[in-house]
Amino acid sequence: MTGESQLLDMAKTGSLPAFEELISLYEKKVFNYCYRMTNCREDAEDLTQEVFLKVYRSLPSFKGNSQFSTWLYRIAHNICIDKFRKQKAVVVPLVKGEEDEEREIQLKAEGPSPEDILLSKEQQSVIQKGIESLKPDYRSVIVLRDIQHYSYEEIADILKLPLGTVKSHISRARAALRQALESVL
Amino acid sequence: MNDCDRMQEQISEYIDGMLDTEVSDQLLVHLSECSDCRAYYHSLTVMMDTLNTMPEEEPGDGFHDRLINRIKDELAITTAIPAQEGPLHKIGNWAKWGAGAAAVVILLLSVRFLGDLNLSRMKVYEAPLIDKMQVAHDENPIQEEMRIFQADENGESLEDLGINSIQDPLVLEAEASDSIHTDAVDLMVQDVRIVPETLYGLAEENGIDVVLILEGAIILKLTTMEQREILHRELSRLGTILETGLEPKGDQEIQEVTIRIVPEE
Repeated sequence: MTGESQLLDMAKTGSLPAFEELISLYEKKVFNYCYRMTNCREDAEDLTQEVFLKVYRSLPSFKGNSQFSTWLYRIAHNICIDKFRKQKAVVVPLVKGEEDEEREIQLKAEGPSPEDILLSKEQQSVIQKGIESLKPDYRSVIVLRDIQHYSYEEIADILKLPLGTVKSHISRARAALRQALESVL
Repeated sequence: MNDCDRMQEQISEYIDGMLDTEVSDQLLVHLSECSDCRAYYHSLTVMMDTLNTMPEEEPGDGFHDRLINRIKDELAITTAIPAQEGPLHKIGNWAKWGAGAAAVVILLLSVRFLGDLNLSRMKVYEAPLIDKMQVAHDENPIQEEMRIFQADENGESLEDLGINSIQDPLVLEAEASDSIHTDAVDLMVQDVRIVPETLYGLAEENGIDVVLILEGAIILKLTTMEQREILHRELSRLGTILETGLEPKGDQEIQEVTIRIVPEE
């Protein structure tokens, strides 16, 4: 099996089949990142396409100073942020309506351990709404850290932020999300 | 920030094992004494465990094929339409594009006038011209381009338009040895994959702000001499640099630079 760095070298010289293999390795992760950032499958698919298009075009200039995955996520992050800017960063406040009252869920881990919890679609939707209520930078660190499990160092590299800033972003993003989900926690 | 606020900020790092032992110990002492912070700790762990169990979303059927087809389509377009002939994305971009395009027009004209006037080594546009051109572009860049073309058609010299002296593009290329000096650059490339988005990635990697991406061109904001050097070095790797623009005025360091991608024959 061809290794990632070999695929990367081949893709840099213009091999589309090699790039297709790279896409296969990362498309789901990038799609998920975009989906968690936008809470919209159609937008996530469009953005994922934009990300890989930009990556393919940028490959000749990729020097390998950072890992390919880090670079890929940085581009994904920037494309999502650009989209929010274009939409004038519409932030949806998590205001409870009558319908939401009925859909209120219980997330407290009483009984089964967190690993045993299989989140229902409804629960996922409430959490996703909570994430959507955060400002884009906070959304990004929650997705990268708590859903996709990147390390603080990797997130600092992706977002091009100092480690200290990443730490405080993660703390504050979690505090904001906790507040947004207060009624269900 | 009171004690609890500070501790609650640290709880997040504590859960991730990012606190050093001494701070962790202080936090644990506080948690043993403060029920509010314990409740915060508990709710944060529940929330994080819940996020941890969020399933990976499956892309829709045919997602991979649509992705590959989109890339193939875009590549076909890029190959079929050379960047300099492509339409612009937005009418609103005309103003900025016009300024760059006019500079190119002037340079092309300059080759002819230099031949007529037998001039070989002159400075780039002189200050009064810069001001005049800038004002003209601000008013209506397209009209300005038309005015220059019209003047050429009528056999008027650039001096008649207030254009005093023009530099030979070859001289500009030779002088641009190790940094980007002006606000407009033609990048002559052989690889058809190199498009403005390629430079977007390059800018991202080097901490250079992207102002605007156009069809066939990108506008970057350079704020330091180091960025000018980095940009020159990176562009050199992709193709041949031909500086076509104006140098910053006075001590001004911050400048928006338009880079046009020009496929080489």
